[in-house]
Amino acid sequence: MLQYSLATSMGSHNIRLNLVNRKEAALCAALGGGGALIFLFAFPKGAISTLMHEVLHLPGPGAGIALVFGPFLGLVVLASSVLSRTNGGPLIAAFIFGVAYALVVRLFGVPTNPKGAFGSVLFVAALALFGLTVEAITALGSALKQPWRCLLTGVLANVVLLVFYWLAIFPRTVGWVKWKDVPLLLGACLVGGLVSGYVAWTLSKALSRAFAHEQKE
Amino acid sequence: MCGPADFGALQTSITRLIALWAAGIASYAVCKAVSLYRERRLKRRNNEKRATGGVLPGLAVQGSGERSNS
Repeated sequence: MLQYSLATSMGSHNIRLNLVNRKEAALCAALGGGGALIFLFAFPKGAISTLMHEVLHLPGPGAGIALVFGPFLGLVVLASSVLSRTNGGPLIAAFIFGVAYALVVRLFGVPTNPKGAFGSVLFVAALALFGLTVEAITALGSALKQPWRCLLTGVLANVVLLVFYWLAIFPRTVGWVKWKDVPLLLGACLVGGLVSGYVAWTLSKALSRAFAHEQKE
Repeated sequence: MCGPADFGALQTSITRLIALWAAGIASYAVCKAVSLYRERRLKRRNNEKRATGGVLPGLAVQGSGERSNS
């Protein structure tokens, strides 16, 4: 079993990193790839924009990222983090999500909203940043109990993704966000992140119990 | 800024989400049923083992008692 243990000392705190082994990396990659396929299947082009701006009358750009894409990605990445219980898993899940999404969109010509630059290099970079954020918070917040850690990770990772989209992607596709829309969209982002963290923790608890039961047998 | 509204896509999305939700619940129910079945089978096997294994220690205790009495 290839498991490495690194102990890094930061002041008075010790951060212990348990890097993923092959089996856990495969599990995280499967979660990321499966998540990308489910997202492509569940949200065809135009669905999120219509829901956000025509039904909920939320301002843009960023409402879809804050309330749908970010929480969904958070669910996938947090589930991989809780199930693998190692460092590196969330980054693998997020990166594979981006790569699988880009590959499917390019190979099968699936239409996507050009506003979100889905499948582009910047999109993959945004997902990698999301994974890194989850990694950092998981490593630094090891003192917190798991439910609180999941909630904090869901919120902060969602905020980082939205801010990256506002600064790096939306200015190239639709334009800068208006200052007056920022508080409402940030509020939506916090709510989306909290819900995502809570659902990820609940689902992972049930799944890890099932895995533990099977291992016992 | 938002592009044209596509209520057809939204309807498709809701239908697919419901289908995914139903599939998830069905697969969870199947997994739960299988795990419960396995658990019961394991318990039954353990009980059977205990029942067959419990005879010998009983006899041994009885034997030692007889010896001490004689």
